[in-house]
Amino acid sequence: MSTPAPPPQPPRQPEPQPQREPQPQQRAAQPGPLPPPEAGVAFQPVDRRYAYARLLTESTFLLVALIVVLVVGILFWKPLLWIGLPVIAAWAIFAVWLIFRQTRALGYAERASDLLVRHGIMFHTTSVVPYGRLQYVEVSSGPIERMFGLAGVELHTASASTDATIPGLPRAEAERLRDELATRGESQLAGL
Amino acid sequence: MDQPAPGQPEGAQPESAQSESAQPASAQSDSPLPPAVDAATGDAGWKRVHPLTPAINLIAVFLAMIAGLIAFGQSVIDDVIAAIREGRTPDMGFFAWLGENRLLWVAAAVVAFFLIAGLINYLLWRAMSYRVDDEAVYLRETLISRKLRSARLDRVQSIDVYQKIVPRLFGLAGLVFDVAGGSDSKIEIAYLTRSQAETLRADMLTRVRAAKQRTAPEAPGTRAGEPTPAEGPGDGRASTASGTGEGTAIAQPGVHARELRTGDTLGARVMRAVHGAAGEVTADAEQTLDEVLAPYRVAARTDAEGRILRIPAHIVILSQLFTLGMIVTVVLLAAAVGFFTIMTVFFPGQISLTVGLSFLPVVFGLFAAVRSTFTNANFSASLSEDGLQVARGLLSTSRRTIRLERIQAVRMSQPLLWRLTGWWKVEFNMAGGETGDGDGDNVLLPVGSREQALMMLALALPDPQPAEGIDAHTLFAAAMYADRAADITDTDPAALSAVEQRFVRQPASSRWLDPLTYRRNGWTVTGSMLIIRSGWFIRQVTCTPHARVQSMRWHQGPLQRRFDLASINLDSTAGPIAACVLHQSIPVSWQFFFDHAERTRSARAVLDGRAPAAAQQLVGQELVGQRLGGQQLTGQHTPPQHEEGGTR
Repeated sequence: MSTPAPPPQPPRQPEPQPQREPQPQQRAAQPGPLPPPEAGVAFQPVDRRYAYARLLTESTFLLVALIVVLVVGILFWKPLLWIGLPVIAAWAIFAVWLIFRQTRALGYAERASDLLVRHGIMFHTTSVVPYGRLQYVEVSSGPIERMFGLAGVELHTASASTDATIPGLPRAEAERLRDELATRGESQLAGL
Repeated sequence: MDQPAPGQPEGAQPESAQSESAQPASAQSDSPLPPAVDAATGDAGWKRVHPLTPAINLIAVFLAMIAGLIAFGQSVIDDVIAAIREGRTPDMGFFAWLGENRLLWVAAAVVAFFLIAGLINYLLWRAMSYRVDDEAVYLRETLISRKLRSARLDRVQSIDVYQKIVPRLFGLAGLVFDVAGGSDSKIEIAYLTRSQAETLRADMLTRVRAAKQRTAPEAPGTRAGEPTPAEGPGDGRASTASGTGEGTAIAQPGVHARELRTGDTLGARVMRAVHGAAGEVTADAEQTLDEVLAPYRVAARTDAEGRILRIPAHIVILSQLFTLGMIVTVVLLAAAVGFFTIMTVFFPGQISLTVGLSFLPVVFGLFAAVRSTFTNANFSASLSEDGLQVARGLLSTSRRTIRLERIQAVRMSQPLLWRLTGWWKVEFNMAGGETGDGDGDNVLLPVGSREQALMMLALALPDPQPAEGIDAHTLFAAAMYADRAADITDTDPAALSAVEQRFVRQPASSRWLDPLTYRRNGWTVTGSMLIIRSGWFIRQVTCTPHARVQSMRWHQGPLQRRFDLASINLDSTAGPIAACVLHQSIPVSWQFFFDHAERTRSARAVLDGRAPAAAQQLVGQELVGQRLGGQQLTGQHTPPQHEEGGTR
């Protein structure tokens, strides 16, 4: 195990997402003895290149849309250009903004006995998956992710609703994480 | 195995074959195991299923043919009716043609049809055989290609006898073996005569127990033979369980968990308590059962046949009529029938019989709704060594064993109208829960009184471990009835209000999101489980044992953010129950999230005998030590004390 196992709660990392995090922290401070919530956990961000990979995926869609608009607009119906091009431009800007924000919101933290995964801004989710509950861990990477040397780690428990996927990790980190999780999973394995 | 069919001429008609072969089959059933050598194949131990099996399996085809005939006949009848109404002689068309010249041909065609059907039946029957030995159960199909399926006995999770309606008419039943894990994990031996199936099941259960006992002492070793072997993190890559990328498989203790587990928290305890006492009803058994049920202050009465529970069919049917969905369906159907009647009475001729028959889908819809009622009618439960034996079904009966120690979550619910009668329903989630064929399979109690519901809950989750000074009976009175508890139950109001204090309600800001339920919604934690109280139209109490939580999700959507709320979902295995701590304030939600992660961790440790609290049994300790390969965990063996779970 490469990470020190007992949780000495390392100093809070520079939060990759400052606009959201202080909120629960401040609130937590109000009713007395509550432990610091998410803030006490040092989340590892995912690789910034994941945003580029997603941008590339997104841009292929945009490109197709652009071509369709241009062809149809020039050949058949001119006004489409005036509607379509601004829409595509707005979509592109929104996609860039959203993808970078979403990538920043992704994070995971290996704790002593469980793994925390969080994602989402509008719909924020933080999952906790105990190592002892892991059935198997999957590393996968699509063609575009592979171009950037990235891979995703997916955690599977006996529950179908477990939603713990860490996309956009560097390949080596993904493999380390998988092996680490498998080792810990085996050693802490709990009966169903 | 025992049927004369191999020697019969190949064209034996199913009609005659069925009446003849039924006799030897039932005569044979007295001997528990038919002769070991099958005459036709010569293989030792291979046995045949009942010769009518293919015909019954293909009954749908026959029914389709009959349906086609009916449709044809109906158009003829429509014609005849129209002809009579118009005062002309009906044109008998096809029938006239039949009568005139080709009757012989038609008869020949019918005979040929039966010959061919009989031949196909015979060939299909010959192709199927099964074998049971001390290691495994095998099913062989050798029609075109040889197909052999097997299930190791020590992996068999359950053996259920089921009777669908058509086989039931012929006195036949099927046997389903469910193996741990996988989607295609069932082996079905169908069909045998009812008594044969029962004897085979009893025999199999003995063998399974023996096989499991054999493998238990060497649990770590046997795990290597599992479909997902536990290998080193690097080696396991090739054996990817599924999906796109490479994965590292982690073996589950699965079957051996029962032997390994030393935690006294769950159904294993019930099973140990009633071990050996099942079947024969003794005062002893009832006493141990009552001890298990004691925390909930309910008592079990065992009847002459050893059943602790029996719900008659009419109660189940009545209870279904009282649910909202059924009321809507019935009203719709009544409207449809009324509309049709009015149309036929006042506007005759506008609607033909064909249009009338188009209401059939509605009837089928109703039938589907009623079906689940019928599957749960005549519900009865008794305790056995392997778990809770449940028999149910009105038209088709099934019998299955619910392994109580594999139950992952329990929910009690009460639809609005059931308040009048005080009925409750109890459902559960189970590990490897794909055992059922759908409808009503996860039902622990289709309908029953509060005491019966509590009894089933107590069997599923025998150790509630409520906090100091609180008893589980009062706790669940509050969980089930909330502020109405004092009116309905016999519990002391002072105790009730003390219990009510322990329920964490939703903050006032959530009343806009849950205008009806926010007064009732709440959760509380005992030493062994999380109890979530929810629902207004349908009162619900969801109990999730700490040790059974798979993972948790804290989540917040935009609307919740507007009100500073968040929810936490507790992921469970497949089943009807999804536990959710709804709409808590942000600090409470985070505190619950992290505290509960810790609670589930220590509960898992206790369950697996890793924590000192439950590691007294030497065998268990040794096994766990082996299993972990001497690797000690990260020094968190002492479960931290929680204010709520202080009783451990």
